[in-house]
Parts: sequence; structure tokens; C-alpha cells
Amino acid sequence: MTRSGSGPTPDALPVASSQLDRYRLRLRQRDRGTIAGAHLIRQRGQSLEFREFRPYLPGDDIRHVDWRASARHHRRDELVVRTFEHEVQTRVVISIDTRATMRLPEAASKLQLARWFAEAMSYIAGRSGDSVALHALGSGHVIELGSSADRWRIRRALQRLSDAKTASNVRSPSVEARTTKAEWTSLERALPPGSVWLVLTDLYFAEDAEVMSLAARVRNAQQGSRWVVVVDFDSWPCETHRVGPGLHRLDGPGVTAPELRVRLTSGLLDDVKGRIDERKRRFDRAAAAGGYDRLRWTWPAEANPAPAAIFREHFFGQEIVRRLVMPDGAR
Amino acid sequence: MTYVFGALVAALVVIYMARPNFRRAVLSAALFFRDDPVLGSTSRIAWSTPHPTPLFFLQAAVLLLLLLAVPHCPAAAVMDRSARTGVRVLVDRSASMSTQLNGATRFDAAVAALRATVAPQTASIACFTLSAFDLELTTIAENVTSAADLVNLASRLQPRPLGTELSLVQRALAASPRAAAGGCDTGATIVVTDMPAPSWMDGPASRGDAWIDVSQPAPNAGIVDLADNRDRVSGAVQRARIVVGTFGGMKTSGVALGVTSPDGAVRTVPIETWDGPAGSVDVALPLPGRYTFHVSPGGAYRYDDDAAIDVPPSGPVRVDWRVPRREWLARLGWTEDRDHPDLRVLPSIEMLDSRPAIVLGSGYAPRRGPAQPVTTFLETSALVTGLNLDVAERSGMTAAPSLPPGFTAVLSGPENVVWIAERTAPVAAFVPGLPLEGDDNVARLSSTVFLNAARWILERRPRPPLFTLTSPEQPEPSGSRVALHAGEGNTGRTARSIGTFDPRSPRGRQTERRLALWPWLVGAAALVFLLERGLALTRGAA
Repeated sequence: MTRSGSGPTPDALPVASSQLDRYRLRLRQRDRGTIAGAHLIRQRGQSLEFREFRPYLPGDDIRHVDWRASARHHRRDELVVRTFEHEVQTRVVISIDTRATMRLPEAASKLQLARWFAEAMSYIAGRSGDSVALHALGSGHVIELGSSADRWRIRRALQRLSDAKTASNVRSPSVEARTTKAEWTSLERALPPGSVWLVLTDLYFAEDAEVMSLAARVRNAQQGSRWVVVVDFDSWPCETHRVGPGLHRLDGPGVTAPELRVRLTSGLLDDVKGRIDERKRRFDRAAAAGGYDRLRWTWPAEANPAPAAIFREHFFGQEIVRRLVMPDGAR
Repeated sequence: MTYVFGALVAALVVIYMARPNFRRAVLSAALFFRDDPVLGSTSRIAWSTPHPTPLFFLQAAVLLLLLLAVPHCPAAAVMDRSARTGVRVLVDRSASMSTQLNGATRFDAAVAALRATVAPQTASIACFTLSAFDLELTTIAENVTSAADLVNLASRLQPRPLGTELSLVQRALAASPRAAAGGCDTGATIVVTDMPAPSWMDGPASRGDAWIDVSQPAPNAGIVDLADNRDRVSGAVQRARIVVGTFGGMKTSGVALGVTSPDGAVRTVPIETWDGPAGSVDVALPLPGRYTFHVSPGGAYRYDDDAAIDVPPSGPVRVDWRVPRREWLARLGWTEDRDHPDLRVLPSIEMLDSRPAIVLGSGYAPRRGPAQPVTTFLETSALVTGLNLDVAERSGMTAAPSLPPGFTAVLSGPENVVWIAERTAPVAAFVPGLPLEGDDNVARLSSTVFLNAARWILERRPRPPLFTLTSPEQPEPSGSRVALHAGEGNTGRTARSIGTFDPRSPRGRQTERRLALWPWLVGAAALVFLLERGLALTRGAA
């Protein structure tokens, strides 16, 4: 039994645990073998789940010899042994960017969607017996959840992460300034080789050096057979649609006095969007080392989009999310 | 005051338009705009596609209301000029203003009156516009800033030997006050003249305009009318009647008319026939050429003392005679001239053109049988003057053929039979025929009909006038161009001034009636503007 939390709230994940369970089981059954999943790394070993037959080798446990299969084997002088699945508990670390840029747009903040994503992934991982740790990219804070599928506990942990140093982070998009080397070290300790690292961020960093620093961490993480998935929360279409063209005093994280006074035109917006995309492409180039994926969650060009719709569209529709969820196959 | 207010409003609008209206917008990617070297134009008046937002419609409403208020603003300007206004001065410089009295002319008196009128009001007068009138209204100077300059300019004017056309002044007063070229907005008007104030001046006078009549009775005698007496058929000038009037207590006794003939003979004709202040004398004009007349003593006004006429040489009537019986030319004393005829006598209607002509029918056929009854005749026509219609009914007149358009039947019978007809333009007449020989009634009738037609046509010939009047184009008397403009020599009128000049209330009531709307329009625009600003503030805060 798992607790579903303290009841629905405006910020609560609008997906029931039962629906997450059905989603997990459906992927395990229907998509098995069709998608190269990476949630769990499976090895042959001691378990009750049959994997395959193979010829007997010296050192094999004689109790695993299948005598009937050996009798049917085309080589009479050779015994056939039965092998079994050996399930290995997977380590999943979810880093949530809690900087001020993630708290926008107000109608459907990126941080809210990130928390929902982390909650759903933590629940599914817990139900699969995996170990989960939550990490705040803004503050460096790490919270161990273990294999808990308790959504109430998950939600509290996420709340603590997002509340940490909130006041000081409101106007600062800088992660490097808040994340000390010791905190990075604590994160690396929580990421054993073979683990999965999910980074939930919008990549809106004040300085290029901060982006490259994070990219270097991601690249280093992949050297230990880790799979790093950066979930890029892109609310640009929604925010620019809401603001509209014309004269504006731009405010937001990273903007200090004097205010930015601009005439927003489609040309200027395209120009800025191009710079953002170029920064993300450089991040990709710097971060990719064989075990890296970046998936984008894009807000629709609406003034007041429904957060639940954004979540459902991306969480249940993106292939990489399914690969994260399904328990089959090697990376 | 209105201009100050208008300039202030315009300045506020310009400042508001020039000041960009930045709305606050929060973007999570705002920091990426920070390094943008070109942020785009921040001017409010930069061209951009309008967005149909409530703010846009409110701004459009403000603009529309202000535009609607614009046509009403000139009226407001007139109202505000009541504090310090421009004054339009109209000075009479017609011939009568040269009338002498006690060694000075009426024009001198007008300048003095003008000085006395404007000097006390100098502080309330912003500027002057000076105009002079006689037979025309002429602007002498605009935007004169001081009363001294105005009086100086007026004193340089001189009366001209022309008449007085007061309708020019009436139209000037009725016209809306307007800004002069130099920016002098005239509101009040001063008219200085020697003519009594007409009744249409009562209205303007009640609104602060003034009519100053500087005339005083002065003894004067002069020619007031000159009429010639001409032969109605030949046009020869035979006599002239000169009417002499006396005004301002001028005694009639001793007033005489001197006549100088073309041959240089001078004679004095006493005026013995007086009808009250006017006497007349008939002068025979036997010779062609210029006759001059002089009234003595002339009195205070000089332009009616002299007159001159040119008597044209007289000659026989020139006729283009196209019918038989040419002996009638000699009988009537006419000469034939086919190139420049005074009259054409034609045998058929087809020969008729635009020149004056008598078209003859087939003549008369007197008979003792049944009469041709005259059913209708045009009593007012000169063609039937002295006709015996009983004789006409038995004269056997031949009917006119089909007459071209323009002819009117003068004498006609049953079944639309026309015996005599006339056409006024071009002048032409149809008669049955030439006069018959003999001394019977029909012969006399035929002579009467023909000569009536000839006289009716010949007396309509254009006759050159014996004299002309001075005009704005030729204001000075010369030869037979005289300055006998009607009423100018009447120096005995009773003066009538009206209105007390008050520059502080020029046409104010008229203006107040016209400007009820613009303050409301501006007020509405201000309210909508405040609403728009409030809404913009709310939206910006949101």
C-alpha cells in the first residue's frame, strides 16, 4: 500500500497512483523487447525468472541442469543448463533546478512541472524497487528517498528542495554561485556507476561559464556508465505569447536596474530565441559523451496553458520517458 | 488665453505621445535580452500594427474627441479676445468727405473722431486693421499695433471723387470676424463716415461696434441731375435738363448755371424755376461737341459744381432698304446704308437676321366686304399706338406667314391669323406692308403701323451716354467723366451716430451661442484619457 498524499492541492500532481502503475505495467508488458529501456540493468543470476538455456560449463551449479532439455538436445554428450534473471537495483538521481527562472511563468511554472515529473518518476522507480535520490540544482541539497513509493513522502521531499534558499534565489539565475564544490561532490557520491541521472532544468543560466560547468558535470557523469537525461523545460512560446509585441519593461531573473526597456518585435524575439537555442546546442556538444539525452518539454503558445495538459502530453507521450520507465533491456 | 490653453494641451499630447508607454512584462528568459545591443525603437509614434485592445480603442476615442473639438476652437478664440481684442476701422473716403466746413474737411473731422475714439481704449486693443471705403472697400493696413500709427495712417488718406456704397460696410460687418494676415484677430468695428447710421447698424452697435457720423450741415449748391432730351427716331440730342440742388441752408437766390458751348460761347443761365431746394433749367444743345456747366456759387462741396457732356453729331437714319418703292427713303429723310444700317426693311421673313428689321407682308387690300375681326391685340405694344381697330378690320391686312420663334402677336384675328408681330431680342417687327398712297383711313392706318414699327425699333438703338461717372478705376474727373455721384452733394443731412465703441464686448453674444460644444468635447476626451491611463496602469501592474 502506498499513500497518495494529503489530498489534491493546486500544486499536486494531477495523476493518480493507479494511473502511474498502469502505465508502468503496460510498458513492461506491451513494449518489452521493442524499446531499449534503461530503467533497470538486468544480469543473469539467481532469481525465479527464467532467462535462457545454454550448454553446461564447468563450474555451473549442477542443480541448474535441465535433464529433460538435455535429453532432447541434439548433442547427446552435452548437458544443458537453465539460466535465470538477476535483477539489479538501479540508482536514480533526479536533480531539480530550483533557480528563479524555473519559477516562471506564473500560470504554469517550470518548477511545478519539474516537481510533478520528479514525483511521477520517483513513484515509478520506487514501485520498481529502485533507489531514488532527489537533488536541488540550485542549492546542492540532496534528499535520499530510497525505494519509497510513498507519494506523500516524495512530495514533502520535493517541497523541501524547492523551498531551500528560495528567498535568495528569486532574482538569481546562477547555479554556480550557489553550488559549492563540496555539494557537487555529495551529488557525485549519490551517483554510483550505472545509475541514471535526470536533470530537470531550463538551462537559463546567467553566464556561459555556468552552462559549461554543468555540461562538464554531465559529461563526467557519463564516464561511470551513467545515463544522463536532461529534461529541458521550454516555456518560451507561452511567455512570449502572453507578453505580446510592443513596448515593455522587461523584468525577470537576472535583470537588475536599470530596467530593460524594449520594443518586442517578432524579429527581436527570433533573435533572442536563436541565442538561447545556440546556447543549448553548445551545452549538448559539451555534455554528450555516449550516455546523454536531452528531451524538451515545450509549453504551448497560450497565455494560460493548463499545467496538467502539458504534463500528460510529455510524460505519457515521449519516447525517452517510456525508456526511463520501462524495466527492460540494457542501455 | 485659448491659445495658451491650446498650446498647453498640444504640448501635453506631444509629451504623452513621445513618452513611450512601457508595460511591465516578466519573462524567465529576460536575462537573454540584457546583452542585446539593439533593443528596437522605443518611440511611441513609431509605426506598428495597431492591436485592437481596449487601450487602443480608448486612445482612438481621445483622438476623435479632440479632432471634433478643433472646429469649435476659433469661436473660443473670438470669445477670449473680449479681454484684449483687435479692432477693424472702416473710414469713408468718398467725395462727400471733402466737404469743407470752417476751413477743414469732413475727412479731417473723421480722423479726429477716430483718434478720440480709440485713444481711451488703447489698453484694451491688441491691434487694428484699417480699411477705406467709397465705391470699393480697400484694406489699407493690417496688424497696426498702436493707436497713433492707426491715426497716422488714416490721416494720410485723401477723399476720392467717388460715391459711397454702404452695402460694402454692411457685408463687412455681417462677415465673421477673422484673423488678418498679420495675426490681428478683429472683433470690434468702428465705422467713420459722413453718412447717417442705417437701420441695419442697430444690431452691431448693440454689440460694441460704433458708427460715427462726422457730418455737419454746410451750405452747398450743385448739379444733382443731368438728363438729355433726344429725338426718339433719329437719336439727335436736342436739349438737356440740368437739375441744381441746394443743401445745408444754401440760399437759392443768386444760384446760376454757366454754360460753355462747343464753340466757346459762355452764357449764364439763371435758375428761375425752383421746386423747394431744387431748381432746373433746360439748355438747348444745337451744336455737337462738349458743353460744360458750372454752378455758382457752389458752396461747401466742390465736385457737384461742374459737369461736362459730349453731344454727338446727329445724322439721318441709315436704312438697308430691300423692298420696292424707294421713294419712301427720301420722304422719311433716311439714307441707305447696307453696311451699317440702323434699320433693315425686308420683304420676307427668310431674310431676317439678328440686326433690327421690319419685315413686310404682302400689303393691304381694302374691300367693302365683311370685315376681318380683330380678336386679340397687345394693348401695351408701341406697334398699335394710335391704331383705329375698326379701320384695321376693314383694311384687308395680309396675314403674316409662319413666324420664327421669339415673335409675339400684337394684332391677330380668328384662326391664329397674325397681322402685326414684334420680337424684342433681336429687335424685329412684322407689319402688313409699306404705307399706302392716299389720304383715306386705310392709308393713314398703314402709315401709322409702319412708322410705329420704325420708331419702336429705332428708339431701341444703343445711344452713347453724354457723360460718365468716375469709378475706382478712373477716380479723377476728366472731360465728360464727372463726379456727380448721387447723394454726395447732400450736405444738409442730419448726422446720426450709433453705438458706443467697447472693445471688451465685441460680438460676444454671437460667439457665446456658437461655442457650447467644444469644452464638453475636450472634457470628454480628458475623461477617456484618464480612464485609458488608469486601465493601462492596472494592466501594467498586472
